[in-house]
Amino acid sequence: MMVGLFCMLGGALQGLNLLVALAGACLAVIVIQWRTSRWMIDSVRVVRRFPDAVFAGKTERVRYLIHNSSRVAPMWLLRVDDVLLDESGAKRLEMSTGVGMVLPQQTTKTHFDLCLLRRGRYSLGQWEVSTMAPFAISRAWRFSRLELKMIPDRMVELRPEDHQVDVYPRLLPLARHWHRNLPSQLGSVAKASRRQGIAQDEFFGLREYQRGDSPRHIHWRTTARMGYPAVRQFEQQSRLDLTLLVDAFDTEAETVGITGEAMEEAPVETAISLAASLVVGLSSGGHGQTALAVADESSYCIAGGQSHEGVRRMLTLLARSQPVASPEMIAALDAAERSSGGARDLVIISPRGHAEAIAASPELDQRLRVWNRRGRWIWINVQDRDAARWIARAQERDSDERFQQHVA
Amino acid sequence: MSDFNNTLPEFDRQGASVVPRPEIKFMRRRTMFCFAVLTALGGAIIGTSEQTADLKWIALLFACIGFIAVDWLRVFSLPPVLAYAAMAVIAVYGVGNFMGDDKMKAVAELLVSAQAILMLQKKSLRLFEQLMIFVLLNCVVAAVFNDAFNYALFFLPLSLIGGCGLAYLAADMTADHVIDHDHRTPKESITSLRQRPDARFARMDTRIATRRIAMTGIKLPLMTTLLLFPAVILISVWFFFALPRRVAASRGSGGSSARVGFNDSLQMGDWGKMLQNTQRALRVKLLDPETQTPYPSDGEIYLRGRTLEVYQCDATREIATASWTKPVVSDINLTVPVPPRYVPRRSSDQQFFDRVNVEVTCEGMRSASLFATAPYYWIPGSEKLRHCVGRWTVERDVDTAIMLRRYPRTTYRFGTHAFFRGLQTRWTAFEPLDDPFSARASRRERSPAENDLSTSGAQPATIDELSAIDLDYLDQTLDYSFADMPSAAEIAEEQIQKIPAERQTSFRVARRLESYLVSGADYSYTLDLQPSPMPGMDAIERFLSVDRKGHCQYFASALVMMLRSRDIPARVVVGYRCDEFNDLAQQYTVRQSHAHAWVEALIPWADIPDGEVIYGQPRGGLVWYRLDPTPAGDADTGATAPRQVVDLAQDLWNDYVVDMDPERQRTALLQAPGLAPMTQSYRAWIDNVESLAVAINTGEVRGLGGGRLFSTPAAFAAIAFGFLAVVLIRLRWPAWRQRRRSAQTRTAAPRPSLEFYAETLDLMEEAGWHRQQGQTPFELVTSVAKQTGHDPKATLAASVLSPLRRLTEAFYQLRYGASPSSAESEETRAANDSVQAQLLQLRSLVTDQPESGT
Repeated sequence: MMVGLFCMLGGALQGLNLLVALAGACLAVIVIQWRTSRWMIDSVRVVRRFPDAVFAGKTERVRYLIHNSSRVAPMWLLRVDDVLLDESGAKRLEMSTGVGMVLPQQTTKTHFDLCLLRRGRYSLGQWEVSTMAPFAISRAWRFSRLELKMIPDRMVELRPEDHQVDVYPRLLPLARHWHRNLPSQLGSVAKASRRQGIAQDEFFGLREYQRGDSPRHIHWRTTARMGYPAVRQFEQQSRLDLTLLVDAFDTEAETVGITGEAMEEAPVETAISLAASLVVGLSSGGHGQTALAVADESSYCIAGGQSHEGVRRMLTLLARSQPVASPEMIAALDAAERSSGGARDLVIISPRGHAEAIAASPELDQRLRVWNRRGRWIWINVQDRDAARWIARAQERDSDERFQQHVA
Repeated sequence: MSDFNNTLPEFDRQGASVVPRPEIKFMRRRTMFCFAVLTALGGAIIGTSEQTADLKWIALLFACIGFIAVDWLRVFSLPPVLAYAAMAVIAVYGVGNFMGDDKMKAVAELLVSAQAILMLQKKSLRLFEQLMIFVLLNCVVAAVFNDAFNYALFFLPLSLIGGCGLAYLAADMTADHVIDHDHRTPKESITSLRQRPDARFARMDTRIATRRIAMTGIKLPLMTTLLLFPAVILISVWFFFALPRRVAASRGSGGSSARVGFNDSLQMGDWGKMLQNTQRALRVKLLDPETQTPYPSDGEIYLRGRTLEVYQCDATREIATASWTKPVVSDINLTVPVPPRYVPRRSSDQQFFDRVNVEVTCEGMRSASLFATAPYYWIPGSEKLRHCVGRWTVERDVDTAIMLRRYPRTTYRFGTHAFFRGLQTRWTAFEPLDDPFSARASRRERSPAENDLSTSGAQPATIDELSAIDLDYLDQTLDYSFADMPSAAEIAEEQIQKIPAERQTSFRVARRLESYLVSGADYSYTLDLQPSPMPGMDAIERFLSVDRKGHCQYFASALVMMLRSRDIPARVVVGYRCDEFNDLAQQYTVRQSHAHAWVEALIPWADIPDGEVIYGQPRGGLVWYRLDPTPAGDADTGATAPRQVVDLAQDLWNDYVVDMDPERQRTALLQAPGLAPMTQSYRAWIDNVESLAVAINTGEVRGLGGGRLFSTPAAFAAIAFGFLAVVLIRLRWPAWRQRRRSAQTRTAAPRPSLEFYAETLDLMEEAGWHRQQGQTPFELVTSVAKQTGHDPKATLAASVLSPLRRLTEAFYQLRYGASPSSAESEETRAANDSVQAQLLQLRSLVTDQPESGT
């Protein structure tokens, strides 16, 4: 641009026409660059599709639909930059993908594969679409004005919470006959009678249809009225077959805080991952009702069945759990008991031994004794040899290895 | 809940087939190549000037080395530290040079060396930018340096490749940015400054996007060329012509290498090189003043530059150096404004000469002399000219000429009476050096009519009536030394003996001597003079008696001396003799190689034989007669078509780019050379059509129909034509449209979810049966069954039919019949096995079929 300006001045002042011609060429390139890139950015529409379920250590595909709303001209060399922030906001992942060419009135998909290594709650930032085409002199860009989500056949504006993404804990490969280690024989005769149907559930409310919901639960009248599918939600008043309790105990949590590597290595993460693996494993096997309780700073318990939503909520709970030095085990047990309606079978997954936990809070022993009367319970210490009965191999960075293989 | 495990894309499954590296590599190499070419072209554009001609080879060499060794083979690359050091050294060297005479040359050297260093470095985004800027600077320097047509020749490809390079760079940078976020691809970035995201936090794979961008990048040239270059050109052209000019166009300071124009002295043998130079010197356009159309001239034209009278020879050297100069007496070198038009007393005289307006565009030159055809007169556009009294040559007005050693390109006009029926006259009226018409009349204002009336009376009738100055001048045109060049007198004597004594007029003598030299019997034309040392011998004597070969200078000198030996006043005229007519531009293209020397002999009016036509200039007294003693050499045979096109392009470039000034800006596009004849031919065409229309109306045309309103052949022709049109429209068109429509609408039917049936459809597709959208599986079976007739695919269809039917049945059963929960039962397992068997059969049928089947 400077050279062009110089040429223009020199040419105009001195009457050197060749300089004017040169200036003309520079100017034309700049003008074309400016107009073309600006126009491209103005007429591009981008829709982001973040995957529904993201597990740590597992590769997910983040898709972008890029639509050229122009009627005549194609656009090319578009770049989409996106940002993912972790809960604390300290870690920031810049993601980028691009698309070669979009013809007029057409939509092209592009994506990148993302593998997040840590569970937790992340928030998606604004995407930015930009282009350097055609002449790489400048970069025209635009941030997402309006976040849109694709509901079948139409787009709706996203709510703020939709920008939040829960990355579920890493799934561990479970040992071959892990079912047998469970305290009760699931799938027994008793199970059939406890099976839940719609009729036995208590109507809880209506909510928006989400992927995975059974079509049987669609509330057609509301759907017709609202214009988008709505489903009935039921509160399940059921006694559960099994309760999982995660002891989110981490000695280092208080002192060190959670940092990337420490978090991955910590035994508590293994415990959380094992719990997640069991939740997924139990849900896919048709094993009946499961409840999940997490004992960390405070205690939560979620009773879920075989529904997507139930599993999702459990995984979300696990994703968000914050290990502490003194987890609220008793409260968690209480909550579990309450919500499971007096379930007999309890699996406690902990990064420490039973004795150690009781030493930390003596009431636990008594509480468990009470539990003992009603059903069976087992204590899985993930640091123990005992863990091998549950986890197929020592946890390995299998996805990392695949990464390396690929590079090779 | 199995979705959670199965619907997620697996890294390996998806990623394995994607290998973006080759595309990226190709794209990057192409960008590098582009910039290497750009650098070479930048050097070439600098090298268009004569002073910096060597630089282009440097640029080319380093562009090649840079691309092949550094970018492609990666043999080596200059580390940044070394590069900076080298730059510093060059800067110091450049500053040193800058103190010298030629500042622009120093700048050019600096630029080219910096480019060379850049080319040797490993390329990064920043480096590409720097290369681009240097190329632009090259253009700027070259533009200041040089305005030759070469600039245009290099500038256009340069801008084209520059645009391509930038477009590639855009693709490269976009892909690069995306690669930067990819953890799998080894880091090999041109934008090396950016940090990758933390690999402990997340991993990313962006190779598919990268690959897509790369694929687009590879296809980019077509797109950019089609869409953007016209736009860029449009804008720049608009900008160039719309930018208001406040000052007159100035020229590059360097000047071209043209040795156009002649000094007041002429070294003999000086011209050898120039006569081989085909660079353009002048453009000469002859126009009819009445109609402003090109004047149809035949054959060659002589354009006078200088007349030289005084011969000097330094014979003391080993090889004699001879030169022609003009007399040093100041009165003899008087210049006045161009004389007004001569109007003969008898109006009937006007039938014997044509009025022609001449427009000459002269390249930049080193002397003030300009070129004209005598006799000339003033018309608008002659203001820049000065008339050299007594010589009929023009030169630049001292006021308008830049007081420098170089004179810029210029365009001037004058009128002339030199032509009659397309031929240029050989006669030029003698003009007294103290002629009141020119010398004195210019000092006091007179009306042109007064001038015209007075001119004829001013002609001296004989030598006796000449003034002292004229006599002094004529003395110099008679200066001949027999001692130095006896051969001239001897040869002249010998030739004249062949003319009968009673007919030995000065005119016949001159013609005789001219034809003797032209005949080439004893003397031959050559540009290749390699004289051996011969001390003490005069150059002309040597030509006449020893070498007997030479170019126009020698022939002209020899003839002058021969004439002078016979007491006929003679002088050498230098200028251009041109026969290269450009049909496209309708003008003469005068090249340096057309430079010519010829002779003028002063003939008394009485000696002029009957039949010679001398009109359009004052009559009586003495007349200069043009003699051209040079035999025809192996001169080029005029302009070829491509050369004419190049010349025209050069004219357009000069007129509409280099010389764009406020005046031309207003009148642009109306006077484009080449456009005028086009306009004329267009007009002529319109006239023809009009006259044809008139003729048709009056029933004069007796063509096909013989003038009647109805004609049988015409009716038949019309019917045939109409039929043909109908056939074309009705039959062919729907076929095309159908094909096009089917291409648009043929979308594959959605892929069935049952794996075995999906494969079945794939196999059928391979065999040539496509399942259309909306076609049910049974319909597909039926369509295959229908082909068992006499179709070429019949045999295949027959064999394929049975497994296809079974598979379709199985598909229906599984899809709509049995419930999914019972999929595990023994029954379905058995069915599965049979399905697999059928599939195997189908597979073998399809894959083993002969090629012709598909």
